[in-house]
Amino acid sequence: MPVSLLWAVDVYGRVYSLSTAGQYWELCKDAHLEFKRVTAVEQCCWGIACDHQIYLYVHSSDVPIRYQEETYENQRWNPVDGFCERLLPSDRWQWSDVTGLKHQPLDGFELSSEHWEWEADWYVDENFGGEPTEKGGWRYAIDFPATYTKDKKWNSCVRRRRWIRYRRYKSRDSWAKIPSGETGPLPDPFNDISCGGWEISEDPRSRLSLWAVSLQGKVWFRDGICHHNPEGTSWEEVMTPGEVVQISCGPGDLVWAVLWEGQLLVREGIGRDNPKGSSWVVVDAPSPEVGAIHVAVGVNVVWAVSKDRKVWFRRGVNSHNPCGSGWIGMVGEMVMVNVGLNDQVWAVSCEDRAVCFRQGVTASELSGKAWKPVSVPRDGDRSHSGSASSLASAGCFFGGEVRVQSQGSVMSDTESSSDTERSAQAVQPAAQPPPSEQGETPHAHIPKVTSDSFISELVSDKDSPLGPGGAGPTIVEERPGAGGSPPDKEGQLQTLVLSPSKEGSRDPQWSNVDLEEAQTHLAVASATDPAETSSLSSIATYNFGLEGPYGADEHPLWAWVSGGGCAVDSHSQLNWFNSTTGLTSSVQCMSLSITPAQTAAWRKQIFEQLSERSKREMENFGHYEQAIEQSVWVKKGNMQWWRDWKPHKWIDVRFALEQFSGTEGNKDGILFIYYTFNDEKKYLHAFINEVTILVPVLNDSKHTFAVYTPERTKQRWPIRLAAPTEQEMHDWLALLSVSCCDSRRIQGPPSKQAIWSTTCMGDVFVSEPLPSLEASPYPMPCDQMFWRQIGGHLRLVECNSLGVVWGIGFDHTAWVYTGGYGGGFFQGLASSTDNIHTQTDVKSVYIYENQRWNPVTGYSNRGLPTDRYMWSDASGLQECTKTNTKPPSPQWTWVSEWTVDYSVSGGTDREGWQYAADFPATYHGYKTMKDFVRRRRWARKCKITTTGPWKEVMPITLLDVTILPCSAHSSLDQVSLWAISSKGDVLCRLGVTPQSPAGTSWLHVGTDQPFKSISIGGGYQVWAIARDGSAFYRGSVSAQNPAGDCWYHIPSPPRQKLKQVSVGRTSVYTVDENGNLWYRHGLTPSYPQGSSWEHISNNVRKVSVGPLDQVWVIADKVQGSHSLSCGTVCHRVGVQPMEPKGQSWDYGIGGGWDYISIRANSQEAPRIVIPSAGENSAGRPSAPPPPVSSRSPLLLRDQEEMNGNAVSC
Amino acid sequence: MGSQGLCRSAQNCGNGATITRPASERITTQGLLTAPPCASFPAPLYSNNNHIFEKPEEVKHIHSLGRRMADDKDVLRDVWFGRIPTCFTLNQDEVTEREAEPYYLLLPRVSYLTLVTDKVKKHFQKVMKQEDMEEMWLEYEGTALKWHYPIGLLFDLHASNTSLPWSITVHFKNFPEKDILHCPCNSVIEAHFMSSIKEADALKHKGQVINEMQKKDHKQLWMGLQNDKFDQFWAMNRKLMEYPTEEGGFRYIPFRLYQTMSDRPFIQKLFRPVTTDGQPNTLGDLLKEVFPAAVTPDGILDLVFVNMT
Repeated sequence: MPVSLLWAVDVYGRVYSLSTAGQYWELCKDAHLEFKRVTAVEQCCWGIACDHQIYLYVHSSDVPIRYQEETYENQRWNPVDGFCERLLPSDRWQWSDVTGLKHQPLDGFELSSEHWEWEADWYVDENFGGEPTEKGGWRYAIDFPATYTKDKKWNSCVRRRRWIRYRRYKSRDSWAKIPSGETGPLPDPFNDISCGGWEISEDPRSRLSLWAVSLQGKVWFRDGICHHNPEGTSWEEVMTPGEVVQISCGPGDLVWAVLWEGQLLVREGIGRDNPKGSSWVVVDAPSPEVGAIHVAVGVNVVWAVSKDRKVWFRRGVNSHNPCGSGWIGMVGEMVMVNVGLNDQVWAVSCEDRAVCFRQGVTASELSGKAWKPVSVPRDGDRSHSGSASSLASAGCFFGGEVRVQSQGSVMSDTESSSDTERSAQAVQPAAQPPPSEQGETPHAHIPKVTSDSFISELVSDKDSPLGPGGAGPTIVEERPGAGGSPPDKEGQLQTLVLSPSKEGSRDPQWSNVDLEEAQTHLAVASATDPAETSSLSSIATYNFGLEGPYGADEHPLWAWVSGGGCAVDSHSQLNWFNSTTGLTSSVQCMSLSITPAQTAAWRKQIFEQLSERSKREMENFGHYEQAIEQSVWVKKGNMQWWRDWKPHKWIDVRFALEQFSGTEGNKDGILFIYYTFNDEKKYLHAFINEVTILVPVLNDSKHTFAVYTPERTKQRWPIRLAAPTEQEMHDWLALLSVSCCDSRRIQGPPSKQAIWSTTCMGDVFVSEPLPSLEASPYPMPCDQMFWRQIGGHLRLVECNSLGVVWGIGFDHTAWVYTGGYGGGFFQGLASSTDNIHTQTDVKSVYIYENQRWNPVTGYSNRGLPTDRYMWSDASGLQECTKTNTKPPSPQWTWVSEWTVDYSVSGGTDREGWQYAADFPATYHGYKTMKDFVRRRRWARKCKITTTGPWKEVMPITLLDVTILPCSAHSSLDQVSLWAISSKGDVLCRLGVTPQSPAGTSWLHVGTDQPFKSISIGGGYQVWAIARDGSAFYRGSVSAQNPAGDCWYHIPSPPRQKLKQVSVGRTSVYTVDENGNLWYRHGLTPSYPQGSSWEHISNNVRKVSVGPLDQVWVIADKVQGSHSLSCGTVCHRVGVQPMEPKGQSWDYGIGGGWDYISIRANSQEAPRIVIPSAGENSAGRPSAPPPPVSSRSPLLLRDQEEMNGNAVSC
Repeated sequence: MGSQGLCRSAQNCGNGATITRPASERITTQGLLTAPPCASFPAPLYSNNNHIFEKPEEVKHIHSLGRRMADDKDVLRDVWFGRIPTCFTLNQDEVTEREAEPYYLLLPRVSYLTLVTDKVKKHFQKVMKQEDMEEMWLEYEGTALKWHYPIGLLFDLHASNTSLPWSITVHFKNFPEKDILHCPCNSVIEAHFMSSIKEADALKHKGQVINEMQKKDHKQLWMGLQNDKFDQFWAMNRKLMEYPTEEGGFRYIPFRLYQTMSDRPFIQKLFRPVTTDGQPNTLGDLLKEVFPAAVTPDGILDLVFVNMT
């Protein structure tokens, strides 16, 4: 579970956050201001401060928020001056935007607010569609506007070049004021705010909707908020039928508001193209006599609070019916409710102002079960004995404020205990304002919270014994400070002093504190007080201990809570509830109190003691007879088998595994499949020590798995079996896997040299390389490699020979390997006990809606009789409707509804349609006269929860990752690791070592465009592929300079867009979008960028180049003797130092493989190889040298047979 | 088969932990069937004076080894393949036709005497008349050995201080009806074994796991033990040893604490793997609660050695 935050505001306006991993409310780091309300989402939090201004708190991240500004410089040729800035009168501006219509001089760009800064100066972009231009970056054309080329031709009359400059958002981890002085009507002071809408579109820009309500009851929508513009651009008023008091916006398209009169408004027409929606619908209040005062919405839920503080749940709300059907009264009286992520509900209770969590809210029971108060202390409530002294020194600097603050605290605490009195006396000698003034001082902070009506009620209740006398004047004194006009010195001091966050107010921007003044103040005080040091420290201690207006024992009083950024669900384990001290917290404690090192030490001790005992008791008695004779053990079961001969079909078989001890004491076994053929009993068998891999092929109809041997791999025709239940399949797989590993004497975690691969189903496999694997001239055939499965679900795995292994999930989450093994269905013996964690992954299932045009009704779902299904898969061959489409396997569950997918290659129209002349054809995203059919893609997300030796690397999601390949013996202070974030940022990981493979933080490396693939070579050569398909080389990367200094642009092979790169010791290989494999020629130490691309092969999907420059690929369309397989592991043979391109391919495991990383295998092969049994793995019959030379390059064949891909892609 | 030990710490303890008190009175804890009740967290065994953790650099070294070296499977294997070399001698009083040679066997610690002594019986049959042979029973230094205790437990309880091989006397007469149960056939052992498994699972999972198993699964457990098939046994037993990760451990730890010098043959109480405030319980905690006499103020100093079932 990722760590996320719950935000809340207490009645004094202080903002706290509570981490899902934490047990304390932490005061917001940058808390100079008091807030009325906050609304949080994952990446940021918005708030209305007591000055009625809106502030934005963006969480810091290793990746900067940066925006690329661009402008074009245009020139025209004339015979006298050549190309010059003198243009024709009809021409565009000399400086313009890309269209030429807008005048955009370089100095016309200004930072949009004070929260931005320029990253560097303007520079010319010398990359033109993936091709580097001449120096100067000019692109030429006949005239404006026309097609530009990078080369100057005889008829080039005009030219232009692109200038770019980056600005960077700098106000992160702090409250940044949203500038209000904009064009158009200035919104009056804001009263409510709600942020959401991130699920409206599957948009990588992370668009957000921000709705606000002004004091006059108007509704405003903040336009243009997205990842690179966190502040948004402008406020737009949204007309309402009445005065609105409060509004709530869900993650999706649900927006509800409360009217002053107590009815509710529902926004309709919100969609991808119209996040503001189009109209309001009025919904009656839960009860006619008492109207609603508060509403909160989620994805599919609406909760409301009526004026009598009762809580209501709206029945029947979904995206088709945003209004729902009726109200249900709920137990509990609340001040407000908030719906957070996963439709979880948070509330502030009426009675004791506690933050409550609604327990038991699940997708099937959205109203939950009961309210449970969150009872954790605030950060400041902890004992500060340790930090008090350190604070005393800080207190010295801010001496003046600390002192007066403590007085204020003393006085505002009406039931001042004897302790506080004593402290107050201690304060008195140093007190700057004379005791007579003390009566006024505490009141100064009361008006500051009057901005919110109920807060002031609460506070004035509390402070009423002080008498109303002093309150009046201080309001006057206070207001100017809040309003921003310079107050007099005394007022200034008090403003500062009475802010609850005294120690955080160092930033002059907010507090307007003249520190010099404060120091003078202190100097005066010290002059008058001889015992200054001691009193000061005691004051400081006392002050900190008291911390707030209420004592430590009192629980905090909350005014507002926002769970929009808090990723919990009903299964989450939170240690926020004191009542659950049972197992939940025990796990926490156990993991805290026993470290992995201790566990390992323990295990070692136990193991040693056991070995010692065995030695003592058995060493001298080995000649004794065993009490129990060893025998053969057979496990049997019923299965179905995909018959080897035509017609292929599933037939019932008896299945048996016979296990026995081999000749050298190792375990071995034989698999039997008993079937009947023409009434004759027959069987098929396979030796366990010949099985190379067991591949689970869970699909929705059968629990199948495939068994491969080298022979079966050559045939591309595995033994396919189906178990009656998923459980039985897992039992068999676990047993067979243990049996295979035993027979090959493989146990424990994979070695550091291991070869990792993944299938398109997300299964992770690992193989132990033998030195003979890269032997020359007769390497071990790679169809003999033994693969075993490791738990987890990943799209790719990258590794190096120091044991640093990272993986990326289908949802782009980054995972680091923990050193364990097993997980998933490997339990008990086949799995390590620690280092196994829960892992989740999310992917989308796609179906297509197809329509044909007819002259009567236009496009409709009435197709021709010959047409494909109107709801189908991508090929159109399978019918896939919204209702009959199931998640990929029982392990997956749906986590969203069907939505139109707009991110289809080729583009779509506004409704997601793609048009074509006929099925099947190439589709385009706009309609032409010739288009008679159209289709659109629907996506639905599903989620898998499994276990494996992986730990999440937070919080940035990744597209690609690469780890420095090196020799297994190299000792590096830091292992270079580069990655591409899911937004295309290039990142360099710091602090990665074999001991802490997860590293510590990301270093952002700037690029001019998003990147998609990256690879680092053994000599710190970093190559990357940009989104435009061209390659980049990063200069000057070294162990000392891990991020390098600049990018060198390298054009792609002609007319090809590259998509992936892999760099070995010296070799650089790339794969383009058409499946071609390219080798980079002419790389020399002095010219590491090389000179040209050489075509090596086609039908390649992925390439991995290892630390010995060995080349492995995932190839499509590999022909076996029985069938053809896509996604096959292939090994380039004949790769030599003088012949880095190799000679031919050797084919390994295949059918559904998607990724391989060879980058950990740095085992040099013995120079001369005489194939013998000794080189093969234990118990394996020796194989004749493979007929390498006869192997053809990757073959093409069009037809595909069903069995070829065990795991179908 | 009893007891893979008490906690994983007490995987140290085979048939349980044998504690030798100064008075040479012995106590043995027996985990009821199967391994680590404390789940994946080994509980500190020597809670107070564990010097291992005081040397961080050493720990680091161990950690890096830990990944390489082994995991639980090694421990479980060592437990399973624990053998006690035993010398069987025929009781002097038995009537024989010629002198009976002693018989030597390696007995599996996790098994039961009557399950593995067919060979012994056959050996002595050769020198005895059929009519002189009643039900065979075994004795060590005057104590009739209870067949329904696992062999390792019997050894640790009665004979751990003797030199090896363990010398057991074989009787065919005067069956000590008061001390031990009859064992007419293997199905009696099986019934006893299965009932121990069920009892342990009742403590661990309210019996849910064992009840969900099929008859053939039960049979597989038994056959695994009977034929000394580690994989066969553990393929099934692993299900009994699992618990949901979020629960952090079994409901209760199945264990028995055996004593020689007591009226009660063993102590058995409900004991959770973690305390109410979430701390993991250790074997030391268990002993403190269940048998405080075994614990001295300095920790469990009397714990002389711990071995395995």
